[in-house]
Order: sequence, then structure tokens, then C-alpha cells
Amino acid sequence: MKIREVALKKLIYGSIGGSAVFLFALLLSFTVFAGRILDTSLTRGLGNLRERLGADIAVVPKGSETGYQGILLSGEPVECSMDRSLEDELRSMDGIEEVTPVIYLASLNASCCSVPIQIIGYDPETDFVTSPWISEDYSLQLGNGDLIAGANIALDGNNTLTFFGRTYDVKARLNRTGTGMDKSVYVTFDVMEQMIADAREKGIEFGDGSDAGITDRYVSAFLIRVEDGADADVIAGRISRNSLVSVVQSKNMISSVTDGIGIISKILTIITWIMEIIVTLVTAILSVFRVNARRKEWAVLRMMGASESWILRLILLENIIMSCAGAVLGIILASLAVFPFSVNVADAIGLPYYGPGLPGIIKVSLLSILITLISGALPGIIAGAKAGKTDCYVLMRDGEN
Amino acid sequence: MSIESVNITKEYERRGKTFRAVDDVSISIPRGKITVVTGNSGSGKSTLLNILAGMIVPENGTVHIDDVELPCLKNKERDKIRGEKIGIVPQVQSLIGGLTVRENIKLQQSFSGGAADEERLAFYIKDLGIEDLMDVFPSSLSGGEMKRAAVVRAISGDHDYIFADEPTGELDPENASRIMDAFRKQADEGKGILLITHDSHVEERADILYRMENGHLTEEKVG
Amino acid sequence: MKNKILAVITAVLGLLAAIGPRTIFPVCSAAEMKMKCYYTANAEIAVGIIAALVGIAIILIDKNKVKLALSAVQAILGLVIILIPTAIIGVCGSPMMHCVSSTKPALIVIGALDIVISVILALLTLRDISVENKSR
Repeated sequence: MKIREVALKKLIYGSIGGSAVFLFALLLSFTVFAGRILDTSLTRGLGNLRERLGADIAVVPKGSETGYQGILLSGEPVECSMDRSLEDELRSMDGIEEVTPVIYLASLNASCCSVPIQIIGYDPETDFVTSPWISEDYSLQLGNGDLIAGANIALDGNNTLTFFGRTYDVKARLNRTGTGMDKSVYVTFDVMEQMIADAREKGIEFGDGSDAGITDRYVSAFLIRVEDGADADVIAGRISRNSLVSVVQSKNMISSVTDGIGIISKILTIITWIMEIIVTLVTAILSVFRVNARRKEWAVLRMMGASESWILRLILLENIIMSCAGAVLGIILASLAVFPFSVNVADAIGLPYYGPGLPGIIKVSLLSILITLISGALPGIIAGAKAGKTDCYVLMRDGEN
Repeated sequence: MSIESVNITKEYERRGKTFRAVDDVSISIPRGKITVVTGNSGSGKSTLLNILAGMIVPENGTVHIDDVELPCLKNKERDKIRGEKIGIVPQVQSLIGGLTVRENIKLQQSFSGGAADEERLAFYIKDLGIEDLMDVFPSSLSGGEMKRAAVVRAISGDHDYIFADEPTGELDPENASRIMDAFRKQADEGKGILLITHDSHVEERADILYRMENGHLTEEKVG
Repeated sequence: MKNKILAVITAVLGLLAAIGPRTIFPVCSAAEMKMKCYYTANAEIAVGIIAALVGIAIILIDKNKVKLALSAVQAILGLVIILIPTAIIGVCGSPMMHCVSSTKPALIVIGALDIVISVILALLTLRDISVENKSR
């Protein structure tokens, strides 16, 4: 009889109580899988953020720095305004390559969604931040009057959206990023002017409250790309001498997000290691207990002719099977916890979150299984070696012969 | 061809004192005969059986199985020889749980590296009345049924020798008799049978009889 | 004992599927108009209650063969719980509405757990049947 068969039959029909090993393996695998997926998603989200930022420097009204970062990280809608006259001064500064103005408006209630979303007005002529990321599904020539939706925005029937009572055609989509951009809608300035007017009727003020040409006079922010070789810090310092504005440097924003993710990453890794050690120890104790409880069985097996290594392999196999089963179930349960709720997780953390694709998931699954197997195999070897050394005195004690 | 042991001694510690379970024992287990070792509890009979089976290594003396000296071998090799040459009926817990009787037999045969003749095995299965129990788990067997199944299992490996420790313990006379009949048939087929017992009915059917007391062995007249 | 605990869990899951979409992870309110998610919630009430009853039946009934059949039914019910918000009826379109971000994932998880546990229950029952055959 193959040793594999014996191990399986004993696990299924023999009452050898391996369920604790199974449960602990499940716990370990769950922790490793969920932790790795979380970590990977955060890292990938960060990567996307880095790619998509486009601008090196953002100039925003004084006090609106956190709001600006919120747009990118979590899509929290923001509204602010400042005088557009600063634009000429910025364009003429040394070291600045491109400047583009943007306008931020928060929708009241859009037809699509039960929460307010960010409307971002951009100037198609000077824009270098949004246009690169338009999905190729909609490779129409975009011009004034068009509306671009982020990946998470659901459209109404005929690819339209309604804001402040007016319906607009959605001409394009942005690719998914895992950042706040997914929850935003992008419009050109002329559309924005219409929206601002509509918004005022609903009681929302922008700029100085006047109508015509408002976007010529007021914007929410300037996005700046510096020339190659220019020192962004110096330029930022020069701009911030203007007391009405604040400056946000992308690299600072990225580094603070990176730090945040770094801390989370470390915590997850530590938790994983602790779990591995605990589970291995507990499994070892349980395995040795089980082996001791079955001493008579080992003695009989040796009498039948089983060698020490055969017995070791049997116990090792029992542990491996139990650990494997626990590992697989742990992965399934962890998947249920992590994937369906990824949107909620991302919101709760407030950091960019972009889940791994199938190859990434397979890698994490294999890692989880491997780590869990080790936690079961090591104790299996130790306990198995012990069992193999059982001598026949065990059988004699009861009969005292 | 036989199992020969010369001057074997085995000591072990109990409550701080060393004492000799087996004291300078020489015994021969010839093929084709039933050898019985009898004696009271604690006399060292089981230890002797285990030494002869290669499960315990004695401090002194030699054990040969068909001219192969046992204690010289490494553990693995001793296990292999035991698996091939000796079928053992242990005193307690004789079948592996979670495996049916049939599977227990298959397992024994895989350790022995060979199987008894199918027809002969079928004969013993019928003779010892376990045909209906072949696909049953040990946990549902009575004491008598388990012992009979264990005997069949010991026979199934086509061994040259059969050892049994208290083969009739806790059995009613009818079951005991069936088992002894089976051993007799095995002896007639040329196997060497060693039985450890303190059942007088077993003593009566011995070809060779020894008595063990406090580790010492003496041969007795059979009759 | 193990089987009874598992069966209780499936019953609880059924209950969650039934009342969840109206309480713990609610669908969008039907104040202005009844959207798809409203009907999903209604359907889940029905399926969830059936699943809960099946779970209770598994606890109370002794015959293994019947338990096995009921476990299979329970697994199918779990599948239905998943399919209602994803394929059969559906929920609202936008990823930012409650029914999409909370209710749908919750029902998927509940349904999947139901399937997993029912399968385990079925396997354990199969083993019991096999042991029954090999005893007297």
C-alpha cells in the first residue's frame, strides 16, 4: 500500500484529530494572503500615482493644500478659487516649462452617484496632466465642450451625465488608476463655465460670483512642470513668496505617501512573521501530542515491518495534507475578505489602491501555500522522528510481560 | 534454518535499579514447530520476543535469523528483515485504525515485500471466520474478531516465522482453539512458530516448551 | 458535532442574506423610484429564508443520505445568493452607490461562504456514509 494512501485513509477515517493543525494553517494562510494582497495593492497604487501626477508643482490658494492632495489620493471633492492673473507671472518664471490652470468644483448630486464627486476643469490647449491618460477606447479628437469620466464613474443610458440639472455627453474615459482620479470627471473650461453658472443657481458660489468669463479670471490651481535640470525647490520657494498661495510639490506628496505605505508594509511583514512562528510552534506542540497519543500504533507498525523513516514520512505526509487543505481554504476565505470589498478598503485607508492582476494573485497564493506548508512540514519532521523511535515497551507496559 | 539466540542479556532501569529482563538466555526457534515460552507476568517473555524479532538490541549475546546476525545490522536493515521474515501478532491493539481489515493485510504485505499465496490466504480467512469482516474498520470488531484478523494479517505476509504475544488472551475457548489450529497448520507448512503465553491450553499444544522466570529460561518436557 | 456547527453557520448565513440588504448593508433607498437593487433585496429575502430553513433541516435530520442531498441544495442556494445581485437581477451601475460598494460584495461573500461550508458539510457527510457502510 502506498504511504500516501495510508495517510489519506487515516486522515479521513481514523480519528487522529488533525483539525487543529488544519485550522491554524488556515489562519496563517489567510493572514499571509490578505496581507500580501494589501501590500501589493498599495504599492501598485503608489506606482500609478507617481506615473499620473504629471505636474511637479501645484500652486493652490493658501490653505487648500490638503484638499488638493485629497483629490489625488482619495477623490474627496474640493472647491477653491484664486485669481487667474498669477498665470502670466508663472509662465515668465525661469525654469518653468509648462503651466496649466485647473478648476475644481464639487457636484451637488450627480445622476450617477449617491455621493458628491469632483469635477475638474482643464484647459485642453495647455493641459499636460489629463490628456495622456485618456483611454484608447475613445480615441476621438477631444475639443471644447466634451466631458471625460474617471474609471469608477458610471454613466447614464446614452453615455451621459447630469450635473446641476444639465445633461452632458461623455466623450472619453480615463484608464483605471486606483487613485482619486477614478472618481473624478474632467471638463473643458467652457463647459466648466456653464456648470459654474448652473451651480450658482443651486446656491454654490465660485470666484466672485459673476457670470461671463469667470474662468478667465478665477481658477482653482495651476499645475506646473519644471524644465529638465531646473531646481523645483528653488522655483517653489520663489512662488510661495506670494502670500495668497501655497505650493505643493509632487515629490513631497509622493514621499509622504511612500512613507505611509512603508509603515503599513512593515507592519504587515512583522505580523506575517509572528504568525508564521506562532503557528509553527503550535503545530509542533500539537504534532508531538498527536504522536504521543498514538504510540501503540507506531509500535504495531514497527512490528509489521515499518522502518523509522516510513513512520516519519507518514506523519510528515499527514501534516502536509492538513496544512495544504488549510492553506487552500485560507486563501479562499481571504479572497472573500479582500477582493469584493476592495473599494471599501481603499476608502478606509485613504491611499491609492490598485489590486494585482491574475499573475500577481497566483504568485501571492503560491507564497501563502509555501509558507503554510513549511509551518506544517517542519513540525511533521520533528514529530515523525520522535514517533519512529517508539519502542515496543509501549505495548508491553499494559501487559507487563 | 532457524532463529538462534545465544547468551542474550537485556537490562533496563526501573525505579533507579537496574534489573535483567532477560538473563543469559539461549533459545532456538526451529521451522516447522510450535515453540512456546510460558511464565508469569514480569518474567521477561515479551522482552525475549522483541529481542528475537529484532525490535530490541540486547546488551550481550547474539541473535541470528537464518544465519543473518541481527544486532550488527542498522535499524533500517533490521526492520526490513523483520518485515520479510517474521509476522508478529502483538498483544494489544493489533490492527491499524482507519484502515479496514483488508487494507491492514495489504499494508502488511507491502512491508513484507511479498504476499502469501492467494488461495492459502483465502483459506485462512475462511478458516478463522473473518470473511465478512474484511471491509470493516477495527473499531467495530470484538476482541476475538480483532485477534483472529491479526493472526490472518501476520500470516498474509508469507513470512518464515510467526511470533504471537498472548494470542489467546481474553478469548473464549472456541476462538482460542481456532487460532491454535491455524498455528498448527502454519507449522505444518514449514513456518517457525513462537508463542508467548501463560495460557495452559496453549502450553498443551507446544512442540517445544520453555518456562521463563525472572529472566531465566529453562526447557520443559512436553507431554 | 462538527456537522451541526457547520449547518448552523449556513443557517446564519441564510439569515444574513435575507435581512442584510435591508439592514446591515442596505441597498439604495426606494424613495424616488425602485431601482434594481430594491428587487435584489426582495429576492434575497426569499432565498435567504429558504437557505436558513435548509440549514436548520440539516441539523434536525439524522439520515445521512438526506443530509447529503440538503447540503447540495444549500450549495446551490449559495450560488443563487451570489447570482442575484450579479447576474439575475443586478444592482445600480455606479461603483459609488451603496448597493455596489457594500451590498453586492457582502452578498457575494455570504454566498461564497455558504457554498464553501456546504461543500465541506457534504464531504463530511459522505465520509460518515462510508464509515456507516464499513461498520456493523
